[in-house]
Amino acid sequence: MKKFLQKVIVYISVLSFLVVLIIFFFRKDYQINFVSNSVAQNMKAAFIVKNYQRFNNSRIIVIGSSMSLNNIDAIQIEDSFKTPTFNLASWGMKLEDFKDYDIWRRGNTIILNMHFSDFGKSEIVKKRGFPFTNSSILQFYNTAFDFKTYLGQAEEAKVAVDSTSIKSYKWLKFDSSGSAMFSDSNFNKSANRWNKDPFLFYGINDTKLQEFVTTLQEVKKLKNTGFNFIISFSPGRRIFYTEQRMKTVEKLAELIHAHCSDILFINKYDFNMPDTFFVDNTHFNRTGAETYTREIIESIKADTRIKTYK
Amino acid sequence: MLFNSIEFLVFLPVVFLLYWFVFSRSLRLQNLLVLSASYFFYGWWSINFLGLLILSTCLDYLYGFGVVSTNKRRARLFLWLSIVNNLGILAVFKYYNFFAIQFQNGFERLGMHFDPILLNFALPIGISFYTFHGMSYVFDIYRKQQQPVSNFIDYAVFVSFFPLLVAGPIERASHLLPQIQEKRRFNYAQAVEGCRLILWGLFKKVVVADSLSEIVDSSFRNYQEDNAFSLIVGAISFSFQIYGDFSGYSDIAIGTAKLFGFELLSNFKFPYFSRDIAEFWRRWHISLSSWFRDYLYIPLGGSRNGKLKAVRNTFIIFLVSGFWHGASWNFIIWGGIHAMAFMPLLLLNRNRKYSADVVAKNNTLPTAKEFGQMLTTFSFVTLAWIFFRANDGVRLAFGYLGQIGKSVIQDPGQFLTAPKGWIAVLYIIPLLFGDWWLRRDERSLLKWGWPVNLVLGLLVWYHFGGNNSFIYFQF
Repeated sequence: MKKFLQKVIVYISVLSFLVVLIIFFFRKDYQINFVSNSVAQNMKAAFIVKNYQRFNNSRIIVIGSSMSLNNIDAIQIEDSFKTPTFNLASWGMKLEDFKDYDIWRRGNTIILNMHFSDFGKSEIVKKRGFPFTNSSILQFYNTAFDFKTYLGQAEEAKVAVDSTSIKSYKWLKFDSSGSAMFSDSNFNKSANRWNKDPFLFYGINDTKLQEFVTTLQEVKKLKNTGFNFIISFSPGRRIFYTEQRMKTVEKLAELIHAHCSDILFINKYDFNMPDTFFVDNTHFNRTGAETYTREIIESIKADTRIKTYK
Repeated sequence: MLFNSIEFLVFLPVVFLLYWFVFSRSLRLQNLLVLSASYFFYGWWSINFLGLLILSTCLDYLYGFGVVSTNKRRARLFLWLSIVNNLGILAVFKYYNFFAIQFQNGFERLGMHFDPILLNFALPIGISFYTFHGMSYVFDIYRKQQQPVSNFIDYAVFVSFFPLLVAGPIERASHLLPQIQEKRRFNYAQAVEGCRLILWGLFKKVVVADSLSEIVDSSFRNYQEDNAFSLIVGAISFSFQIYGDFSGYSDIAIGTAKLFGFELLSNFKFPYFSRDIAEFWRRWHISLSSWFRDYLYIPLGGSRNGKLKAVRNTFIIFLVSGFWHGASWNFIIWGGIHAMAFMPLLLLNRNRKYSADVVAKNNTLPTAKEFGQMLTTFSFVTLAWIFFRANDGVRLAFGYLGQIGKSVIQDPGQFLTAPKGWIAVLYIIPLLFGDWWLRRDERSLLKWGWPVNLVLGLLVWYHFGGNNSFIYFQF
């Protein structure tokens, strides 16, 4: 037994030494905080760590998926309300994924911009330290037990911040407030994404609406009251608009009002934006994002319940 | 928990150290530890279905006492109780929805509409394995090949032993129970062999199978857009994905059992080196095919009552085997395809031609004839695997094959360009090389030196983080 244990310990020691050597040799500093299976979320996590003071001081927080990351101009919100604003959104993040953030406190205004892609279960797989961590030990632990994914994400991150990527859907170079708006000109549009009907693709039904509202109620329990919660529903390409779908969004608004009456729901699904403002069926380019954000700001200002803080 | 998970990396050494250092003085306590660890292992996945496992264990334990009765009627009653109980569990959790939908379709064709109540819970992991353990135990007692076990803990360990609980091998009471009932002594060579087998199994699963999964998923999802070369590579990749996944799991299970002083039945003996389909089925998932042989084929009469009955019984075995893998027509068709290939060998009495020796037993390389035989058998098996993989239905399988045929004609030049994901396919080479090395003597795994084991360890570590459960968990 002793000989066996010695052999095992020696083997594991040598293997571990080689593993540590490989990690240190190959570890790339491409702005990833390796806390999930999503490269966008990991880049956002690294961005938070790097700009922690700005994040911590922000009183308006934009959350959500790429609907918020690419379609909301957080700097414009900040300038308009004269309140520090931070865009926390990243690809594929669902409302439930933001429960881990300590943003649900008195005095904050949370803005979630959404579309039909934001229903359903999250596919984010969280690692230790989610949603972001300063701990090198945790980072090393996550990297050591998923090195292949880490390397793959490091390469993706490198591409995502390259200047040419602003004309592609991979763009993840955040501006000072965390938004990542797409280029207005010469964008490499995908025909598949351009023509995909989001309502049909995501199979929207009453069950999904109800599940979303249930998650909203769980989120509202996080920290009693005192924070403003604003949900906006952005438009897709006009070709996909129908009255029936508008009714679905109105039904969502009714459900939210019935269960969470203090949430401000801004229904902009019928806001007619020209195709020149889009890069695919639901994502805006910079001009589109700026135009849409202006609309949201006006709606927020028009609602007297929402207080913004200087 | 999965074998390729951080939780298991912690679980295994803890149980190992407790087993040999704390509980080794008392056989009873040692078995109790193994049982507790096994329930913990299973409960990690689902506490609710742990209850089902325990219930199934208790029932078969009791049936074992009933079936030993000298009263033949009573004995048969308890045998049937065990069969109905175990198959009932399978019927409810695994096959109910399939039959309900088939009935619905049948009624629709007759112009009648009805909405069956469908069950909406997950398939309990390992259900097809532990129910077979229970049934074989009761069967063996009925046949006077086994005595009922008085100690419940010993029996429960036989059913629930964690290395083989969720994906086999399907053990026999006569093989495993005596080992459970005897004191185990730590054996250095056995433990080292166990560790190397675990490492080799992890390589097959984590490195080979998981690397190929992306190509396979892509090929079967987008087959309408792919060319023939990519689809053929996709099909071959699945052949090695399922082999790496399942035989890798078996190796890890057998290796883990060795760490605790147990020898389990071999489950795979290099099936892709088979020279015909009959040999393939003597080398692939051996514990399942031998289970069906002993508890279905032979009770049906086997080959004792003429060729016609032998053909019938063989067909039944293959179809049932297909159905065992999943409640879906594509699995049944997969079984049927293998049955069709097996029949000529059976009818010509050539199904035992290669039952004795492994290919190229005395040579380093196969002869041209042997190579041709292996290639032909492998090609057929790969073709059949397309139906096995076609989760979305039989139409997908035919569509896949149709797309290969269409693309070959439309674009013959495609074979000169690299197919999608070809790099991952390179992992097949060390797998084939390793299996070829081991085919004459599985114990030659022990001769692999430190450099090989370190390289394997590094490769396993590098690919460790993927989130791919073993394919055979769904059974």
